[in-house]
This record gives sequence, structure tokens and C-alpha cells, in this order.
Amino acid sequence: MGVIQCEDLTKFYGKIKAIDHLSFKIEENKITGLIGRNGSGKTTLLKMIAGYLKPTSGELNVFSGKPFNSLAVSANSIFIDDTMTFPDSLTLSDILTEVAPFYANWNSSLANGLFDYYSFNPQQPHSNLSKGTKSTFNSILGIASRCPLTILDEPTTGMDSAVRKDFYRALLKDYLEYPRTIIISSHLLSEIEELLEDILLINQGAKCLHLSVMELKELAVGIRGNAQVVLSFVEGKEILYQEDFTKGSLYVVIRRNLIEQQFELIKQSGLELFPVSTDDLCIYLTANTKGGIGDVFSRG
Amino acid sequence: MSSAEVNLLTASVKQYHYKLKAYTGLVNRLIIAQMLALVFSYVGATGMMSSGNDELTVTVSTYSASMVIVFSIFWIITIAITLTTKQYKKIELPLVGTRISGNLSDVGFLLTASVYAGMTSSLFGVLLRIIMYFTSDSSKIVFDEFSLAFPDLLLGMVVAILYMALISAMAYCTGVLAQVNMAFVIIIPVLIFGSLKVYTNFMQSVFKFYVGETFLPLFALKILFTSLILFGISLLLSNRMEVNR
Amino acid sequence: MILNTDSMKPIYVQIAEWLEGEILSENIKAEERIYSQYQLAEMFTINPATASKGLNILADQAIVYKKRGLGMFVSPNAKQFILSKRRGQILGQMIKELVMEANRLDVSESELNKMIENVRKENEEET
Repeated sequence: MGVIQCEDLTKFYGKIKAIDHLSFKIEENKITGLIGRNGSGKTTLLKMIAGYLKPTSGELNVFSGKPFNSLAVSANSIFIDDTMTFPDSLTLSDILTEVAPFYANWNSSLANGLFDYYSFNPQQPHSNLSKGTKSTFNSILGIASRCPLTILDEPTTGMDSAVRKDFYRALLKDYLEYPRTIIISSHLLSEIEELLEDILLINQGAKCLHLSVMELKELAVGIRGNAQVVLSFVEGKEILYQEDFTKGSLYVVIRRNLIEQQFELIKQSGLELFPVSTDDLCIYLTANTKGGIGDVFSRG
Repeated sequence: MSSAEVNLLTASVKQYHYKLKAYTGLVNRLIIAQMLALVFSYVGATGMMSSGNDELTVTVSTYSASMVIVFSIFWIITIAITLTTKQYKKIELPLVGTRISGNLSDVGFLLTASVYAGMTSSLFGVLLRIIMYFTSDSSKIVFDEFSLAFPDLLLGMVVAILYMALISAMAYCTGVLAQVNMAFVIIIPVLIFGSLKVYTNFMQSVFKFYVGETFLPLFALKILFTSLILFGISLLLSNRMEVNR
Repeated sequence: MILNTDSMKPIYVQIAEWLEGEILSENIKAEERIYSQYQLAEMFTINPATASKGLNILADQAIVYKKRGLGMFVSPNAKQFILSKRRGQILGQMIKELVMEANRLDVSESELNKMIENVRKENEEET
């Protein structure tokens, strides 16, 4: 069953197009990473899924209903980001007790456990928290609410690396115990890729890729060596990325399936094969800058 | 996967409870406003009348708790408008609900605030009398007006509550309109004061329709019905709006 | 075990190899239940789908077999199979690469044999 189905989804803010004819389907109980660069439309998409924003055109169904201003979607989903606000008259521990009755699957022992683990001060108001601790606190709400659809928009903003690791572990452990559909948006794929089952890569509001992490990891391969030899292998094929190393030496990234049969031959020709990290690959696939950053400096 | 079933009313009631806890800061401001008003009432008698000749001077000072009611009205207007602002609407986002449940819980909160403000401002009238009784020479107090029969106090309370409800509904509706388009912030006062000047007769009859009603149940009906319509308009307007842009 | 996320080897292959290692060292013996995809997911903080793919590699080679409703179990001849597979395929591949590298570095056959002999001796002395 598809928890989220969208078909030709488009969203305009005035004249600016934020989401551009996007179509995809997210299946139940999968952890999906929504990856894209700054301003690629990740947050807009997630807010439409959560029912905060209204699509300009196209179809969007969440739990087989339109999410905008829907009680059913609101009751079965939670949207976590770093702009969540809570009234100052509630302390952190108040928030945990006051929010709990809204969510049918709320696990208070988990919420309190995480709260104690991170050593929060129960008497502090939410607005006094630093960026990182705010994210940490909000992530507790995200995990403990156990919503059938859990949407985490850049959940680790400001967290230090130890807390981030703890958060990923906690999320995965609770997911294993209580499977649900989770979407995590991030621009740091390398950190979350082991957690994910699928990846949805968007660029300028349009879909770039939607596949499993395992497929993404084997999607491309890097070849390095003598420029002439490298070019003889990749000639006529789509090059995802190209970089001159030293004089006469070239590094190219190419789709693996285009060249897989020639791996032995490539190695025998003295070229080196490299895996392409998913992070780098996503950057290559969503490149909308002109040339490389190096060109800016070598100009004139 | 269990799918949570929630109906609108339960969501609204839960949000209402949440808001009661969340907005205690706003309620505290009422008490401060009322205290302030009481001080004003005590220090400055609202009406003073002196007459006499060379041998005798009579000074009649009228003390009134209406200042407290005026302050309470300002308080409820501020609250009603505050509730419609984006910043306050964001508080609903982590909670299960829709624009409708958000509005209904706001209405619930405003009615509670009206009851609270209406009751306390009437009681402040009693408090003022007590203070007067102990601080000034009791022989100088004109007793006819001074003693307040319990049924009169009760009636005063109900009427105050009803006015608070009506004013909060008007302010809330204005707040929602301002969220739809900022131009309404200017248009509405212009419209109200403009028609006071231009359509004086019509506005007077509107005013009379409410204030001139002496039969309490009918008065209550008129007020509640008008408030209902105003809240209904606010609800319809905000239901189409996106949140958290 | 620490997974190497930068390795050319996908995580699920690393999981499969780690499980093979556990069987070889008899931490998990024949006819014993092997870790479930959920246990593996928790142990390595990876998505259960990745863990499941690792287990499936073993199942495809009949190193483990499925008991309906009970999970995956180690086949009776699993250890033997892994040993012969590693000798044949993995060692074969490594030797191939070793010879290639030796050729590139102009290491003669006798030199290479001597180097292998030395490493063996060192290992024997250590144990």
C-alpha cells in the first residue's frame, strides 16, 4: 500500500515554482531519505504532505486522502523541524505531558527515557534552548509520537555528532520495534544512508531519482588514469562528472551499467576504479552550478 | 499499522485544554490590567460635583468600577487579535487538528476568557466598594447606591460576560481578516468610524438593538447569535488558509 | 565489526561476509539459528532491508536455510561450503590481483614465492 502518492504535483509561491510536476509513491513502513540541495523544494514538499500547504496543481494523496487541512492526516502524522514553537508558559516536561494526549501511539516511557538520557532541564522553556538542543528535543517528540507517518525535516540541525549518532540509533531501534513510514530530509546523505531503505532525490522541485540506497550505491563508478585511455572507454557515454587531476590524468564518473562489462579490461589498462559515494553522486546528479568552484578562481 | 481515528470535537477539546495551559501568561495580564484600573478608579473619582455657598460646601464624588470593565475590554480585544496572529497559530502545528479545531479551541478559550473577565470585573466593583467602605468615613457614603443586591451583581456579571463575548468575537473576526489581507487593518476601523459619521441613524439603531434590549434572555440571544455569526465568518475565512509559510 | 561505508563493497556484502566469518569461527554452529534481519539492523545500525539482502546472499548459496515461522538456520555443511568457496573464488581473485601487482612492480616469480613464504613463517612464529 502506498502511504504517499503524488502525481504531477506542482506548487507555486506566487510566480516562483517550488515543486515542479513531481510524481512518486512512498510505500508503507519504509524509511525514505528526501535529499536535495538548499532550495530544492524539500521543505515545501514535506509541508504539503503534512497538510500545511496546499498544492497548486496535481494530485497528492496521503493515507488515500488529500492531506491539506485533513484531520485524519494530522492524527496519523507528525512534522518535526527546527521551527516548531511551544508556548513559553509550558516547561519542557509540560510539553511532553501536554502533547502526549494528541497522539494515539505516544510512548511516554520512551519520551521520558530519551529526555533523561539527554539530561534536559525539565523546568526550562522551549524557546530558551540552543539550536542543537531544540532539534534534540523536537526529535524526541518525533520518535515518541510513533506516528504512522513520521516526517523529519532536517532533524539534526545544530546537533553535535555524538547526539546525531544517538538520534539515528534511537530512531532505528524504535522503528524496528514499531515499524512506520518515515521520511527524513537532509542534505547530508552520507550520515543517514545506512538508515534508509529508499532515496528520493529532488532538484529544483523536480524528481531526480527514486530508488533504493543499495541501487544508488551501485549506480555509478569512478575511473581514473591516463586521460586518453579513460576517454577511449567512456567515449559516447554520458559523463556525470569529470575532473582533470594532474596533466594528462583524468577522473570521470559514469553510470556503472554502461561500463560494467569492461571492468576487467579497464583494470588491465592500468586505470583505477573507484566507488562513488552517494553524497558525491547526488551532487553530480543535481549540479546546477556552471563548471566547478575552481573555475571561479581561475577566471581572468 | 494502526490508524488513529479522531473526531473534530475531541481534537478541538484537546486543543482547548492545551491552550488553557499555554496562555496563562495572557490571563495574568488581565489581573494586572484590572488592578491598574482599580487604582485609577480609586484615585480619580469619575465624577465630582461641588456646590455650596460661603458657609457650606458639598462635594459629591462618584466612584465607579467601569474603568475596570473598560480595561478588561481592552484586554480581551488584545487577546482575541493575538490569537489570530501567525506566531500564535504556529503553536497549534505540533498538535493533532485542523484549522477548524484550531478555531473552535480559540473560540472556547475566548468564551472562557470572557466569563473570567466578566466575572472578575464585576467582582472588582464589589472590591472597590469594600475598599471605599474601609478607607473613607462611612458616614459620608450615600448608602442607597452603595449596597449592591446579589441579584443585581449576578445580572451585572452576566451582562458583562455577554459583552465580553461579543467584543472578543468582533476582535477575533477582525484579526482573521487582517491575516487574509493586511489592508483590513485600515479598512475596518475606517468602515466603523466612517459609518458612525455618515450613517449615524442607522448605527444608532444598531447600537440600540443590543444595548436598548432590557429583557435579559432576548439580550443574551441577540449577543450570542451575533458572536456565533462572527466566529463562523472567521472560521470560514481561515479554513482555506495555509499555515506556516 | 565496524562497517566500512566507503568501501567498494556494498554494506550487504559486508554483512554476508561477517556472517560467514561467524560461521567459520563457529560462533554460530550448524543447525543453529542465525541473526534475524532485525537483530542485524540493530547491531549495525542499518536499515533492515540492507540486512535482509545480506542474509539473502547466504540463503541463495544455501549457507543458511529458512524454517517457516522460525527464521533462518545455518545449513549442516555451511562451514565446509564457505571454506571451499573462499579458497576457490576469493583467494583465487586475490592471487590474481597479487600477480598483476607483482608484474607491475617487476617482482619475479621466485621473489613473490619467497615473500609469501616469509609471511607464512612470521604468522607461524606469532601463533
